[in-house]
Amino acid sequence: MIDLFAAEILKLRTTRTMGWLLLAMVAITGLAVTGAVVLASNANLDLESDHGIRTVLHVSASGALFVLVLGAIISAGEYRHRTATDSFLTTPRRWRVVAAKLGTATGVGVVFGILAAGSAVALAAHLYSIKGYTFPLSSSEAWQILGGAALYAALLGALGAATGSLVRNQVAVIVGWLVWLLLAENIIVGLVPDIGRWLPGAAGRGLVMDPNGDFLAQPVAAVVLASYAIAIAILAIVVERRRDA
Amino acid sequence: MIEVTDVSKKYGATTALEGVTFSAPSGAVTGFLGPNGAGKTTTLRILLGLASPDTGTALIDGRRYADLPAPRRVVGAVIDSMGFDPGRTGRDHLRVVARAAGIARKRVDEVLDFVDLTGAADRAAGGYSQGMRQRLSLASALLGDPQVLLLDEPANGLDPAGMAWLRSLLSDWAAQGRTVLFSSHVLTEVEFVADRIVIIDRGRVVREGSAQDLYGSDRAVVVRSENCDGIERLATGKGWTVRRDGSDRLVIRGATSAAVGAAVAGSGIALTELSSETSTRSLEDLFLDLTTTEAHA
Repeated sequence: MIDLFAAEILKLRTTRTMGWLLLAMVAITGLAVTGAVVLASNANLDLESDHGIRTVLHVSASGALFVLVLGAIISAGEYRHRTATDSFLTTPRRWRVVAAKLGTATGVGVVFGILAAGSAVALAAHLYSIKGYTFPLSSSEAWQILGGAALYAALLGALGAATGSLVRNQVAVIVGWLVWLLLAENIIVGLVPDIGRWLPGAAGRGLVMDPNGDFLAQPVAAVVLASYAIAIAILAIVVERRRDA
Repeated sequence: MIEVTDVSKKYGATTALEGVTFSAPSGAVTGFLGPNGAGKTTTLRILLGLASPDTGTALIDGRRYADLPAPRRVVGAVIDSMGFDPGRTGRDHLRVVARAAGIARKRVDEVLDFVDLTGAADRAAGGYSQGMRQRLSLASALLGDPQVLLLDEPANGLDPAGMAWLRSLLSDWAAQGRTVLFSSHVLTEVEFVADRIVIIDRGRVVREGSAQDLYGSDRAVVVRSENCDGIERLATGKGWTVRRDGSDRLVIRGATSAAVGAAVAGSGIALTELSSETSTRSLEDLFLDLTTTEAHA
């Protein structure tokens, strides 16, 4: 199993995709944090209050979609470039292949999430001082949000990899998730909020303590989002074992 | 040693394989010959555990592929559905495979040298020519120094020098007591390399044997005449199998050339040629007789 993880990491290191996605993720995070600070300060929000911190920092998860893309590339990308056959020849027990990809996407997601959260907090602290505030580095709220953002990135990576193994079509997975997260879910959350808050995107907003709405509490949100990833991964393994490679 | 026993496979209403049985012993090159769509690739995919048979077993050294403890070290395979990430170098592609299979890194350099790809190893595989891709696939198959080689249409895209190289590789491999099974739809590729030939058509094995047996047995009688229709009626009447080959050539099975000559002389039809086949021609005719009967019926 260790060989499989090492091979997945080596796959990522030997193309440029991972570097570009990390760059895009950090860039989007920076843009989102800058926007949030400017908007909040224009609205005369107290940036040092808990609400102010949540308003500014919950957007540090906006770049996590790039980890979902990476997860989809890790799994479904193998069908795009027809390297999946090689993987199954090396590892005929297909659950191991799915599990290695899931673990790799989650692990890389954690690292990306921490890097994005780290750059978010550094940028926020800098922007606070420009606006004449002091960023409360001792605020447990702030670190809770940043931790949630890193975990969100990891779980989106897992979701991307699991759906990619199930669907085998990289573009369909990415477009499907974007439409779901940015469009479909918002409509459902608006129509039936009691059901909507349990959906993956809304659970993600609970995980990063989004102040704009009634979302699940952070620990519950984490369990809900992880459950989606695990359920899809199990489905992917069941299907992958039965079908022809 | 490869043993395929009574393997059947359907895709929906289409029967891909029906009761396919053959073996490929170690120490020999076995050619798996058949027209496009005959079931060669499906058979190889089942042997590799990429598809599962509806019935029957496909075993390598007595085990299913999925049950081999270190499959890359037992079987090296090149099949059509394998590709490369165009942004990854050839060397990195092999490093990934070696890493996943737990194969030492130095094997990567060895196989690159062996397939003569070292010079291009650090270029992105997306820019490789067809022949270079074929050699990279082969390098990947050889990484684990396997006892068994399973190659689907390995000659596709190779130039004559590449063909000669492949031929000596396969022969050497078998000479070391290892097993080679390779498929082809091109007769000349098979007949120059294979010690044994398995012919498959429309999902069924129609002939299996040593190359010598297939050349020698069933040698047909070839007849040329202005009046092929007349000879065809005559031969069919005698219960011989006849196949038209062009406007003036007939291939007749089930009779000696003497019997054919006597029958035709009795009918008064003029012949322009009467001969037993040469061995090359014989295999080609056998292949066509076995695989295109439906089209002629």
